[in-house]
Formats: sequence, C-alpha cells, structure tokens
Amino acid sequence: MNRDELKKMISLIDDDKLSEADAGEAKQVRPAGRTFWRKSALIAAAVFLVTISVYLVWALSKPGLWPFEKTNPATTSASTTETASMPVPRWDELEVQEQYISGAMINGIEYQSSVRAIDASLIETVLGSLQLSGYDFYADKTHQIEATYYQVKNIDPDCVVAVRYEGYEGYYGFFNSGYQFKTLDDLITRLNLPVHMQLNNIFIHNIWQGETQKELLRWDYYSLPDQKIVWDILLANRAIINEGESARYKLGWEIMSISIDYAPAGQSNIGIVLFDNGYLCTNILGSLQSFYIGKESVMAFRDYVLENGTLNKSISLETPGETTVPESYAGVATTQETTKSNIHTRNSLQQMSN
Amino acid sequence: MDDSAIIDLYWARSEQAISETEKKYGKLFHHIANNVLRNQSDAEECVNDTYFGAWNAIPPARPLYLLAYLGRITRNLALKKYYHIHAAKRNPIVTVSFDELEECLSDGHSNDLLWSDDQLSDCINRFLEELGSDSRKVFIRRYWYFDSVKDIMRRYQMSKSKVESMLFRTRQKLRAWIKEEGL
Repeated sequence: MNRDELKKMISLIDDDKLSEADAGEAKQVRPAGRTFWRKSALIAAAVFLVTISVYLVWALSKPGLWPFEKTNPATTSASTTETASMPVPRWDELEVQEQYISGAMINGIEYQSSVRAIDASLIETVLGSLQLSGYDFYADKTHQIEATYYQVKNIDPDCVVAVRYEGYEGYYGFFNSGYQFKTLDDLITRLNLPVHMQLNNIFIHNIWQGETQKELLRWDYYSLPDQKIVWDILLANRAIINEGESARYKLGWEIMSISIDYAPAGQSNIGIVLFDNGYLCTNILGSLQSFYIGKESVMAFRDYVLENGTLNKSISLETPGETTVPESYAGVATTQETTKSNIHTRNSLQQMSN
Repeated sequence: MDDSAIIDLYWARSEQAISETEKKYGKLFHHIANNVLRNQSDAEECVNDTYFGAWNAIPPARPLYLLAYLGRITRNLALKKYYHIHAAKRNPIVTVSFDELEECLSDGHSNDLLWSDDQLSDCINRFLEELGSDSRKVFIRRYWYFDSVKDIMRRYQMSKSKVESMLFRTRQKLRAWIKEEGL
C-alpha cells in the first residue's frame, strides 16, 4: 500500500462509523441555569459597584466636571461579555456524574457512563472498586476519583453495573454497549426487561404513500389502553437470533416506533422500531439489536394499534411554502427532469461520495 | 427534522430540503470544509456545492446516513479544492494528519496502485470494528474530519496526552493490521 492508497482507504470509512464519530458532541454552551446566571449577575454587580465607586471618588475630587465623559463603559461590558461567552461549564459547576464521563474498564470490558441515578433499592452486592477519570478543559487537568461498582438486581453485570462515586451519594448505571446478545431471550433475560423496560405508551405510526417512492406523509401518535400486547405479539418468540449490526443494511421501511426507557442504563425515550420487512430493532445499551420477528407479527401489531389505540396527535411534513434556498440554487430543476449538466454533476458526485 | 423526512423532501423535489439540510448539518459541513481549507469563503463555497450535489444526487440516492453521505461529499470537495488551490501552501492540519498516518505504511512501499476500493474499504472498516469505541471515534475525528488534537480533547473531554497516545496506539495497530492483511 502506498500513500495515495492510504488516503483513499481513510476516505472509504463506512457511513455508520462517521455518524458515530459525530454523535458525541463536545459540551456546548451551558443552558441558562441558576448557578450560571447567579455568577454572571454577581460579576456584573461587582463590576458595576467598582465603576460607581471609582466614579464617585473621581467626581468628588473633581467637582464641576461631567463624570460620564470620563467613564469607560467598555470596561463593564467587556468583563460581563467574557464571562457570558464561556463555552464549556467549569469543572466545579458539574455534578460528579457529569465530571467523570470517560467510562470505565472493568475486567477488560469497556463500560459507558450515564448521568441518571438508579433506584438504590436495585443495588445488590459489591463487585469491586475502580478508578474513574474526568477531564477539566479549563485547567487542562485530568481528575481521578475512586468508585465502587455493584451488581444491579437481576441484571447481568457483563451488561450493566451500578457505580457509586466515593464521597458521594447515589448510584449510576454503567453499561456495556458492545455486549452481543445471542437471542431475544438473551436480551430480555440479561437486562431483566420485564421489570426494567418501561413502555412510554407512545406508538408512532409512520404513514407512507405509494409503492415505489413511499414519500413520508405524516407520523401518527397513538396510545394503548393495555401495553401488554407488546410482549404478546412482538416479544413472544424469544428464540429469535439477534442479528445486531449486521442487519443494518437489510432493514426495510420503518412503519412503527415505540418509545421506551431503560432506567438501569440511564436511557430514556429510546426505541423499539418495526420495519415492514419483518424486523424489530432496538437501541437498548446504545447499540443496534435486530431481530427478524416476521412480517405477520409486525403487521398484526400495527393493525392492533390502529384498531385499539387512541390517536393523540399527527405531525405532517409542512407543504413547502417560502423557500430559503440561496439564489445560487435558482434554476436548479424543481421536477424530476434531469438536464445534461445535472447528469454530469450527479455522476461526479456519486463518484465523490464513494 | 429527521433524516428520512429530509430525504423525502429531496425526493419530492421540495427546495425546503436544502434549507432543512442546512439547518441540521450546515455547521458540521462548514466545520469539515474549514478544517481542510482554513478559509471561510472557500469553505462556504464548498458547503454550497455540497447542497447542490445533494440536490442532484437525491434522488436516485436514498442514503441511509444522510450526515455521512453529504459529509463525505463536503470532505472530498474540500480536499479537491485544497489540492487545486493551495498546492503550494500546506495546511498544517491536513498535511500533519496525513503525515502521521504515513507511519502506518511499511518501508519500501510501491508507488503503483495495487488495491481496489473494495479491498481498501474492507481493510479499514474491519480494522475500525476491532477497535474500542473511543479509539475508533478519536481516529475518525482526526483523520477523516481533520479535527485538531485540541478539538478532539474538547469534544471528548480527554487530556492531550490521552488523545495523542490513543492516536499513536491506533496507528501502530493499523500498521500491524495492514501488514497482516497483506496490503
């Protein structure tokens, strides 16, 4: 392999990996929390008092002059602006579970951290202790903290453990997103889903139109009087093999998604998704678990929801009205017709996107 | 807006597709282009070309990952533009990142292009699948997105030494992997 091939090779990294690498965003501007504004207000007040004091001293010593001609308002605004534009929260503004987010290596398994506390009643035996690290961006310093990890009641510790930070109350779920569940039963049993998977009673039906193009028209949100049907139809055949990531490119059209929480791993509003070609997928533990449950089961479930559910809301794609397309796009064909130059551009772009 | 909904807008030939793409991913595409070109107006042009490209490519394409599909177009357009316009001026980010990668090549490699895209793709993707999630993400941010070490430190809240050592170890592993694969 030579240099050009090496560069080419990097350009051929799969889409899913590129998306994954873009998913973990850096912490953005901290939402306007009380602590932040309190600090800003204190700093602004302090600067204001200093300015007023300086002015009074100056005014009293130089009677007869207009003080405002001499004060420099930039001093005040510069100080407050600098404080207000801090892009990342300070280390001491973070809760302990937000500080130590680098995950953990336990018995050679990489666990991801979560920031939602686990109910203390679920905590069982101590499994061991470990050291966790966190990075203070401002001080360019890596902090370490001792922690203890525990078994969570009836959950396989190879999948999820609870961590308590030394000197702090509360337990937080750490999960192994790489765990390979063999079957649906394996997933249900190891994670104790009958107890811990919460169905949020939101069933979203995707309405498609047409056989070939299948433009998405709208999403209908249903709730059900009894959600046991999820277990009866979708999760009944537990012997089904988990195809995991390898099924990603086999998945058909998404026809229904179900909102769920899995509290032991700190996950909320994640999903079970049904595809028209018979696949059921979920992103429990942050990775794709895929099961072919069959078209009949998928359609039977969809029909049940449509017949027995309550339609709570519908969201449609807005009809395109005003366009914000830059002028440079004016003249681009707005129909399916393709001009010669478009064909050329398309071909070269397809090449580029390979 | 969900990616599939944006793609449907492209298929419906609605110009709203462009504005929705811009709203959702414009900043990221600009980041990728600017990492390569280090010039706001060149990057802007590149991003606009990406939207134009999306308009022409979808349909018939129905990408599974819109971000990666269009990000790839942005990156390739930016690299093309970079080689075309700035051949004499080396952008330290791009060249350093490629120079680092050259460590992965064995000595005495041929200048002939011997390997097909399929072979190269298979090699790198299987390699990345073997890596831990953190190492994989850091590697991709550095060599695909051309993020600086500082950007990566900030993104993943890691120390400089951690990022650098992670990249170093991954390059060593890739070198061994390439050798093992016979490439």
